Amino acid sequence: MLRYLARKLLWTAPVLFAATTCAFLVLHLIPGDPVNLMLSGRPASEKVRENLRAKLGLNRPLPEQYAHFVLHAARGDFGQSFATGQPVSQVIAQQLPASLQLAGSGFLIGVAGGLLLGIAAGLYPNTVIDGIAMFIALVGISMPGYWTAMLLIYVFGLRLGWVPIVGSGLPVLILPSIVFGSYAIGNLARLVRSSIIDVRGEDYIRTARAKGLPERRVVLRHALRNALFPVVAMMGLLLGLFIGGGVITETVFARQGVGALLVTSILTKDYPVVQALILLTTAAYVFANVLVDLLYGVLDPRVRYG
Amino acid sequence: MSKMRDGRLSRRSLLGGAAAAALAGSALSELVSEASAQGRADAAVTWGEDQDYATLDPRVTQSRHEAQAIMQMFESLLFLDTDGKFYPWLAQRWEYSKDGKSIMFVLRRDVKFHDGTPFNAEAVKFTFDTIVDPKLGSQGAIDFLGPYKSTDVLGPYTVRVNWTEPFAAALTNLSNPWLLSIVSPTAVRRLGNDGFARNPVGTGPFKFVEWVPRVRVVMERNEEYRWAPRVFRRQGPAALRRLVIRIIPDATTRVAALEKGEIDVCDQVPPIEVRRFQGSRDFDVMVGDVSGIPLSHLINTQAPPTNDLRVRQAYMYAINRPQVVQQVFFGVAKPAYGPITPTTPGYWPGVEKMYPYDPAKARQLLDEAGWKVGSGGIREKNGRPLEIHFITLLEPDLEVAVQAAAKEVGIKLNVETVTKAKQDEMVMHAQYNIGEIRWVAVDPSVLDIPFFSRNIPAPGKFKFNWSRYGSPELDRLLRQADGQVDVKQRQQTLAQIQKYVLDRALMFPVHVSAQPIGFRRIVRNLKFAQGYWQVLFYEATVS
Repeated sequence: MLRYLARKLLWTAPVLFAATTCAFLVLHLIPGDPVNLMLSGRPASEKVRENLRAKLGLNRPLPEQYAHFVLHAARGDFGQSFATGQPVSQVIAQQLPASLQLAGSGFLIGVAGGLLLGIAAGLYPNTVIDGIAMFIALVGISMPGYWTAMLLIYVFGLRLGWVPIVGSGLPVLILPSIVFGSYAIGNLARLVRSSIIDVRGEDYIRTARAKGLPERRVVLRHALRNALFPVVAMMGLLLGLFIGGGVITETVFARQGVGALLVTSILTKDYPVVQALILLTTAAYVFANVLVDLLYGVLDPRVRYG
Repeated sequence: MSKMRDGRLSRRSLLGGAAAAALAGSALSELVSEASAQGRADAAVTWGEDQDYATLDPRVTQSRHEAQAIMQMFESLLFLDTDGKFYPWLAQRWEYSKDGKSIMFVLRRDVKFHDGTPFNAEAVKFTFDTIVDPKLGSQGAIDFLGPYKSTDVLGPYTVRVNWTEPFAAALTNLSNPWLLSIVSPTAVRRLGNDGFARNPVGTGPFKFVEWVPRVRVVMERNEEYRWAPRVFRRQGPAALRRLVIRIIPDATTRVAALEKGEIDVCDQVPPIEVRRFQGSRDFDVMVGDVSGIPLSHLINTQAPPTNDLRVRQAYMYAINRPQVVQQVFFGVAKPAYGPITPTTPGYWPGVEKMYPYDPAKARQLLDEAGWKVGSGGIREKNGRPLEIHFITLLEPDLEVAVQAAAKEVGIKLNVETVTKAKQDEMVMHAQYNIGEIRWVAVDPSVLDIPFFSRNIPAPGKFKFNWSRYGSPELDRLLRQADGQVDVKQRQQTLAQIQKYVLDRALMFPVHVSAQPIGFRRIVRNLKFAQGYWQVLFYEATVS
């Protein structure tokens, strides 16, 4: 088990290195001068542009910039944001709590809602319950996030006035979490449904019924446990997605967060911030998947790590 | 009072026929606001802002959005009101030298920075000297200082600012409250440049409290404040106890937050929402007709087919500006006819007669240029269709309306929506016929930027003369206006420049940028700052 874990974690190093190198290259290959983008169309003089290039170290050759980046990144120093001059670690640290909050609550809502709908639909396939559950799932998957967000703001924020729109405190988390979770609800519900339907046809379910177990026990102990494997894999992917993927939710609800930070930084070519964020999200993905592997072992006695 | 005078009526129409009505109107609203001038002493107001902030240092910023916060906390030597007049502010008196290369300022003696540092001649010198230091990385202020040479401290409260050549924009630029405002030297030395950008210390009516990146900037009343310029009827500390800038990039969310009362004032209200607010009981909108360069199409004079003057002119005659602008902005923005807007000093009204909507003339010009109507109504010459490549980034909706108008006379306008990065690349490599620009500016010297020959872009050099037109004559006129300290003479030169630019069809001005500010009616006495983009909160009250 520990050896397995160590090997997995060791493998993340080259993955992270490859991801950041790709990010560095792609960022420098696509057109656009960070200084011009930073000035965002303002009529600044050549003097301003030269000063900024020198200040940001952009007048150095590319290989030198890359070597500088790798050597410092290895020591955990990602330099300073072009836009604000703050250390990148500080810029991200300011945005990360809000992201984790949203990812956490969105994930909870997504998993709870997805499991509930999926189980209901899977236990009563082709009934009205199934129809309603799958309709909700379909809406969750196909409604674009910004549209759901605007509807929720209009109905619950403005007309009914139940929740704040951009205020502060915990209630302000409600609408964004629903928007954020709705995609996961849809995805999980459909997966859980089909995997329950699959499992219900298995021999061991018939055996469990035949030996006279109550239906509740059949469902919870036998059907659900086995139906959960694909779901756990899916949750791993979603968790990774959630940590970096809140762009639309963050923008519409005017929240802090690394998703919107990443997009702004890419558009303005704030290299140091982008590189650090790519590293962070890649790491999140990798660790979420290692976590899922381990969880498999807990759920499935057949899985052994050697 | 501010709403009437600043929002709906431009300075020019005040001077014109509407004077009587405007006077009556402002007298009435003055009575009303006098009654509520005190308001609630503990009031807090939240402004909904559409763009995120990167710095709060006036010496560094280039953003008119950051300016909204900066100008509540900082002050400059002079105050330039929207009526175009200069008033004493941190400087009590000023005097140009005979050669027009320096100005002497006598400063107020009773001013203190928020950190207790006394304001004096040293602070002025420190501010200007650090702006030109390349290490600071100034993005706006350094250009506003122009051909800056030095600042001499003549006494504890007397300074002389020197330029290497006569600098006509000096007074206007030195009155800018968010670029050339004076910073506390002690605070800069203590915090360093990057630290100061996040803990700004000025002399203004509001003090910095907190900045939560991407969320809000919080300010509170400066209780020591006693040095407001005389343009304000209020003197002493501001009426509001607290002022919050809340960053809300999404326009729909911003408007919803205003309607719910989570914010009190909202910038950039979408034009389609403006009428709804104007007719409502609880809300109102004031619209700023922004000074500077209107939203304009710069036409490439080097690339075919727009290298032909007749094609450029035909394009300008073909588009019915009042109609297009009405369609897209529902009456919120006004059509523009010249390279600077009517609220900019030096505006020459002659531009309004130069390119009226005249599709017949457009067709005639194209016929003369050899472009004959071909299949599908698009004109052709030597087997090639009349295609104009238009790159858009700022206002794609508008350009689609323009596209339809151009088609009427047989021009195929290929509108390509691009990102900023892509646009810059195409501009530097001359891969376009038309590009869009618009800037908020208070001094007409902004005309240098798109028209000086040294500003023609080249690979690796991103600049703004996108017409790619350079002539010694135009350069001479621009340089002359920049150095003309005499206002009347400068006005004449500026008129020549505006005519020159349109005669050669280098630029097609489309509409004046509009800043519709929505606010709850309980908030009163909001005042547009110079340029008609930002709002000054010093006088604001809540009833």
